Amino acid sequence: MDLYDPLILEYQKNDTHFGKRPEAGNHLQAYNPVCGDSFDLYFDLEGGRMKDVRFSGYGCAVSRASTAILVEMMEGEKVEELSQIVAHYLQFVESGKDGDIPSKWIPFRKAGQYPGRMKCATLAWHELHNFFTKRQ
Amino acid sequence: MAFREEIAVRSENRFDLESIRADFPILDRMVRGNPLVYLDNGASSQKPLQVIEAITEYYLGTHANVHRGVHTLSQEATDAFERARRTSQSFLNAGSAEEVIFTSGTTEAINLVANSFGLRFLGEGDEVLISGMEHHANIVPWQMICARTGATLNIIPVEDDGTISLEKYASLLTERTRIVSVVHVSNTLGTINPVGQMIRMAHERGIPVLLDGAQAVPHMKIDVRALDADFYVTSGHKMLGPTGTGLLYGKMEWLHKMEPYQGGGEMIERVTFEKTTYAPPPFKFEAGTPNIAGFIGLEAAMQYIQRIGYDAMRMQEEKILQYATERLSGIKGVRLIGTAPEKVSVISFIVDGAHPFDVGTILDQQGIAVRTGHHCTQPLMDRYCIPGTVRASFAFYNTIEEAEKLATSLERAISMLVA
Repeated sequence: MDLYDPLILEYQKNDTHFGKRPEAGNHLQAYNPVCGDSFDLYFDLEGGRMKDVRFSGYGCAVSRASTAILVEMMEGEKVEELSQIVAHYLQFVESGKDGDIPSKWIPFRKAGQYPGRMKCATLAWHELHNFFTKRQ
Repeated sequence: MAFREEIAVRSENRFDLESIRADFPILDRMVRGNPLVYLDNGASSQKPLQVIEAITEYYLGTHANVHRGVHTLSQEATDAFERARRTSQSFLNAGSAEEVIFTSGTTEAINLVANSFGLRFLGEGDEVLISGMEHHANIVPWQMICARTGATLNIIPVEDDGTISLEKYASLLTERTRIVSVVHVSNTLGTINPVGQMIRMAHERGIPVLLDGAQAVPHMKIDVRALDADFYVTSGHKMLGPTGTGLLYGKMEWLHKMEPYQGGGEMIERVTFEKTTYAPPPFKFEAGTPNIAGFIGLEAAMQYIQRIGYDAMRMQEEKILQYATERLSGIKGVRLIGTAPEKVSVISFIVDGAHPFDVGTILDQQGIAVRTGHHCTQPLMDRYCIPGTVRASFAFYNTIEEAEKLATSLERAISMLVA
């Protein structure tokens, strides 16, 4: 049961950036048809940085916590750097490629060891990764 | 003593849970350091040795392609395959073996009827009636055929307790209704629908009825003639048989009128480049080499069920259902979804403040296999305004102790997730 690390259980309740911002310049929807988990990401881009990031939606403890941690990381971050961070996180969770990683990421890597749970740890991250890929 | 009671008593005497469980070696395995508690029978049942051995023996000693062969093996394979059809006929109490079509499963069987019946009998302004508790397999094929033919898909609403109101059903049977296609037993709620009465009401208006029996056949004796169903479809793998096997019963009068579903070998009478004539049912609907070993395995599954007896199976399942229902509904924060008075041994529930996937993962850590999510019934989830449920579905080889393990493990999951 070590998937449910205290950090995941804590972050699933973290609502620092929780809320809708329909007026935001960018709105992404992350949806997993297998389980129905669905998160919306709202943010503006100003001077190459992420600003006023919010998320709303519904999902399991792992997907909610992974989204909350992403959003926390997004706020105020430079787009170019964030793009690399997101790619690094996905490589870390999906393929175990580590290097210098924030300790907060570690519990999410365990999701890959549980049947059907990998996507929970990467749902919103993939959506943002797609956003960056399309911008290039 | 009434005949049914007599059977029940006889069956009870024969029901030896220990020896039944010994027929299913997989039940002895460990999962994540705990003995497996398999409560995902609604998705697929486990297979007894008798089924596995029938398939193995067939491949070891009999296999060849069926029909049209002049060599011994081909004849033996054909005989075994067609014997499986006759066993299926008597299993469903169909009038003739030719009314039993072998498919890959319930999904293919419904697609077959939706296409072959739909293209022949549906047109602009016609109506197809299904219920709000259908599996996607009994929604999407009809949506597709309605889009092609201009027909409309109408929905019988589901009541709060997971039942269908016959009054509302009656009001949806119109002059334009061309077919009713409803689930016999709901995979998500466990509800046993009043299908006998629904068929009578449709027939009073001359409307044929298809029953999706995927979740019924594992639990109860099906008599297609007593039901007077026009079509009855089911899957083999939910009733101890192999995956990739399904049965479509259709009344001969309909099968004659319907177009073939797929073209190819087996389904023809005479082929020229100008014109092809089709074989009579059931072969008209069975293009290509069938899943021969699968149906031989399915025959062994049906024989196994007949030997144990549905009455004895049901009695064990009822005991577990009653125990688990009382136990789970007593746990704080647990809400059962589907509380119809007539149910099979399926319990769907949600936990306040905990997502079904998290509950499912924590149960898996304790060796308990349940299903989580929308169970391919998204419109039903929307009806209850929930994203999904946790579903425990019990088979006759499950035990009260396993139901208790589910309850105690669930309590543990709740204490972890809902602080």
